[in-house]
Amino acid sequence: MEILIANNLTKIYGKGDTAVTAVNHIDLTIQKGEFTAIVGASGSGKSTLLHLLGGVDTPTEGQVIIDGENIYDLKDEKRSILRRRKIGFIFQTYNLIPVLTVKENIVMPVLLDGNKVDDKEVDDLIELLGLTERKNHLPNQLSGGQQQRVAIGRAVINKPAIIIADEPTGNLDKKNSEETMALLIKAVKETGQTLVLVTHEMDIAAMADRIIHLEDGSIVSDTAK
Amino acid sequence: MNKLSALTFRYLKFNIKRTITTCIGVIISAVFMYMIFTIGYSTFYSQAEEKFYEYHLGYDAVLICDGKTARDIVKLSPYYNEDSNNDIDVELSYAWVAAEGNRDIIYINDFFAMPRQFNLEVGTLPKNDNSIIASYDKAVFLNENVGDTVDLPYEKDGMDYVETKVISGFYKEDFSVKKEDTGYRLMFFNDGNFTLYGEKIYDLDEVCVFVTFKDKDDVKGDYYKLEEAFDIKEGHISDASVKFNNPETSLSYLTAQALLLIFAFIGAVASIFIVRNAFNISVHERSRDYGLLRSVGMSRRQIIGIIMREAFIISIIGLIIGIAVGHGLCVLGFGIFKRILELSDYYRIRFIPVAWIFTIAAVIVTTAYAMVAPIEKLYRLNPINALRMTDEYKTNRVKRIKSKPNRGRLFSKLFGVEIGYAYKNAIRNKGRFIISVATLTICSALLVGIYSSFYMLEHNYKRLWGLECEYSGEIYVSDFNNIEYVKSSVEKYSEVDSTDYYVDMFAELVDSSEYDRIYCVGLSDAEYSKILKMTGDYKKSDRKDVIEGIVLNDSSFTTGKTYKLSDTYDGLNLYVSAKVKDNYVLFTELNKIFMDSKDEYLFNGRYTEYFIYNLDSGSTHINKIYFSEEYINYNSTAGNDYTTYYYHFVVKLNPKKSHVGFKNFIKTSPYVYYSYTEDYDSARDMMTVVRAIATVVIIILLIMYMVNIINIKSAEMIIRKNELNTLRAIGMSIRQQSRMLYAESVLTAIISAFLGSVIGVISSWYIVNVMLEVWGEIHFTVKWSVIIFTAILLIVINIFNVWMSKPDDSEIQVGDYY
Repeated sequence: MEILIANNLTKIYGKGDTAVTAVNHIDLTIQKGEFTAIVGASGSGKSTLLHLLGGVDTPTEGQVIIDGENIYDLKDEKRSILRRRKIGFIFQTYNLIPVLTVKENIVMPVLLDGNKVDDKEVDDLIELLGLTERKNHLPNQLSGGQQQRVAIGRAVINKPAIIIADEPTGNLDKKNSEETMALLIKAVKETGQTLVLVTHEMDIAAMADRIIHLEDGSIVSDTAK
Repeated sequence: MNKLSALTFRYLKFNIKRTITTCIGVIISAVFMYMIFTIGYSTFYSQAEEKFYEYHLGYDAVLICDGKTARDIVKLSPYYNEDSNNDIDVELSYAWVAAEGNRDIIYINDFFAMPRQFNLEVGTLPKNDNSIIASYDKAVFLNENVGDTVDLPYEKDGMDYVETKVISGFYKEDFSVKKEDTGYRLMFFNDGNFTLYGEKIYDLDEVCVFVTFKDKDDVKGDYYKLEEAFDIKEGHISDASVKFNNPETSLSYLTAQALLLIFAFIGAVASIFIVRNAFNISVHERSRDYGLLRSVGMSRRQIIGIIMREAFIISIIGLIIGIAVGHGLCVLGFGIFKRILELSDYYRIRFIPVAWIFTIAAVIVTTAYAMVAPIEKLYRLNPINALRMTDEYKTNRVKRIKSKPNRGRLFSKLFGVEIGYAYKNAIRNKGRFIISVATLTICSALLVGIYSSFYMLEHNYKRLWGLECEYSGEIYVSDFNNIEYVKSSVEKYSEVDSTDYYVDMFAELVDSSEYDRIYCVGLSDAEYSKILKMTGDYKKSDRKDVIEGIVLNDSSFTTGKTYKLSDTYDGLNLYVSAKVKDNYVLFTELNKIFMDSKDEYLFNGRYTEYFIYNLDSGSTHINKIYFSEEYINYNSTAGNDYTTYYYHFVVKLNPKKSHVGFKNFIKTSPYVYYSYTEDYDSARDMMTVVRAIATVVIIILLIMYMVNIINIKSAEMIIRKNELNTLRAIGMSIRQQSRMLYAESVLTAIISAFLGSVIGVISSWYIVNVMLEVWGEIHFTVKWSVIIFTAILLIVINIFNVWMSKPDDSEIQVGDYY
């Protein structure tokens, strides 16, 4: 079942002679529950593509359809709701909210949606993330690996259909990278979520069901396991 | 040009917007300082020049003139007696100095009053220790002649003494000091111990020389003459001369100086914030560049050198433009004020060296202080973190505090998660929150403080000059419909004997069918006969029922009881009458007529103030109070000339209210006495100028703080860019984010308005009291309207700034920083 479709997706920065095409007419379909890794050299447009797929950037051309809705046809309010309900973001630099504790960071999407927080469910998730002892700590009191685990928690708390991860292990050492990926894959698989991940580490990409190789903003290969 | 300088210029050029913003901060600082001091001192000097048509060389200047002190000069007099134990000898000596110089004797008893000039009218100047000159007018009045002796009582060391002196001559006051007059005159300060016929004989502790201008533009010529005489290079209005003068003089000058310094200080603080923020943003924006420069081998010192050079260049540019703009605005603003306030040609912008010194000093201090934080930041700069732009985000944003997870939950429940988040942001991000609150608090303290100070000063001046009282309602001077009637009725009887006058006036009041009621409010004193006559005449009047006599303080009568004139109550003194027409009550003071002229100053305006204050606060039945005042010269039947002062006021009663409370108040309040003062006009003019200057200062400061707050918000948005974009990425809508940012702003504004108001009111009260040294006499004024206005203004400014600085809604640039 198709969860995400990108049609003729294009992103051009700048104008005229200085125009740079970061994403060049990409067509892409991602199935529900699929773990897709997007790889490519630096500047190949993988992060831009990811942001376009996640609805945080605006394409110059094309459309992104999630669950049958073109997200760029939606007004900000509805697109924000879609993001918080159907998409979970994980960033390379974690991007946790510095003034919120671990637990508060994790439940933020739930609260933004106006829903009541199920404390037990959150505590279970925090336990799964191995952060029970740290749940009332602020981000700057955590290690990089711990921060990324919080980001994973924040991404999965609303059980979104798609998790979009932009080099989630880029700032972590090998041990933490492996732990984080294991945790991410476990969380995603348990809930049947779709994972779209950008990485330049081939051993991470190798864990994926499908590897898309980008070059100069275009897909040069799309390999399924 | 070395590489660092080249790099500095390149940064200034490539960051032209930031360069301009920083420059604006410095320019505002320079403009503000320059304007404050230039306008302040120009106004003061203009005022002084207009009053005296002269420059006053001052106590200090004279003390050293011609290498001699004033006392030394006086010692040249043959009448000087070193062993004399009283100051008459000193006076004689000074008189001799004046006479030898063939000059008039002038003394001045108030720096802001017209100088009084004496001419020797009859006789000679005192020839020996036992002689004295006396007032010509008084002598004629008392039928004294040259050669007569007078006893002069005086007090010394707590003991009373009497000295007998022979009158050698009479002086006459001549108020005709004109700007056409020129020459050197002796000016004596009034600090007299002796009193002769109700006027002081002057104890000449100090002497000053001043010169009048033949032509006010011919300053140099007069200075030249003065220089010849006393070897004084430059004439000026001496601070010392003002300070050593009487308290009221020093009060005005010190008040002006203190206000200027306070404004300047506040301006400097605001400027520091602006420049500091601009540099901070600049450094933050360029952290990555600096990281790069550090990583390629540039030392910390070199990096700091770049920013120091930038500061220097910006300071110079800001200073030049600031002084030029400041001077232009001074001339323009002063011209406008001059036209609006119809000020004389004496009012002009002058070259004030102090303004230049303070402006340059302020810019140097401002820029130097504003550089502290950026330099500190640069010093701590970690090249790797700067390159990755993670240093700020990871280490500086939130201190390692133990979090309290429940914080903000109440806000979240009540107003939504974004408001709860706003609260957490404010509470947990203390550094940023404190800076915002501090800036806004200064802004609100400034507004409230300036206005409170102004109101308190205004009140004090009015109190000192007996002008008006602290009264929360509207006060008009000579601005009511009945004033013409009041004046004409008073003038009508001005030539008659006092007793008859009031009897007749009272008769007219009673007889007039215009008035529904007449209140006769009186005190018991020794003037029974007058009231007996009055009451006798009207006991049988057809209109006797309209008269209500109220005894305020009489042992023969019950205080507060209302007596009808039809009753028998001998001994009532009629002091104040009041008449009612169409809900207006006209009070006409009548008590003064029975007083001896020596008692003229027995009462002062404070009674008026007290009366009206209580009249207002004692009753909710009054809509407005109107004032009028006049004084009339009398030629009494006894042949004595004297002046009687009248104070009239009309109270408009609220027709919807019962007047019982009002009448009760009249019964229990003291009578009113108003002493007309010539300082009224001065007071009003001065307050108008102060009000105008205060308004200009406030407008300039508001602009400064607007720029400041925009700067802070811009900086905040730059710093929070990643955080705000992350929130958007995880599903916060624009509306939610706006609510969050606006909530933070409103919270900051409300807290700042509260703190600022408290600080503003208390500090202004303290400052005014310290400045005027009138502890306990200044009413603590809280203008709620100003506080509410300030709070609303801060909220509006803050919301506007957030709206201005909000991140672009169209894109969420989460990946911008890496």
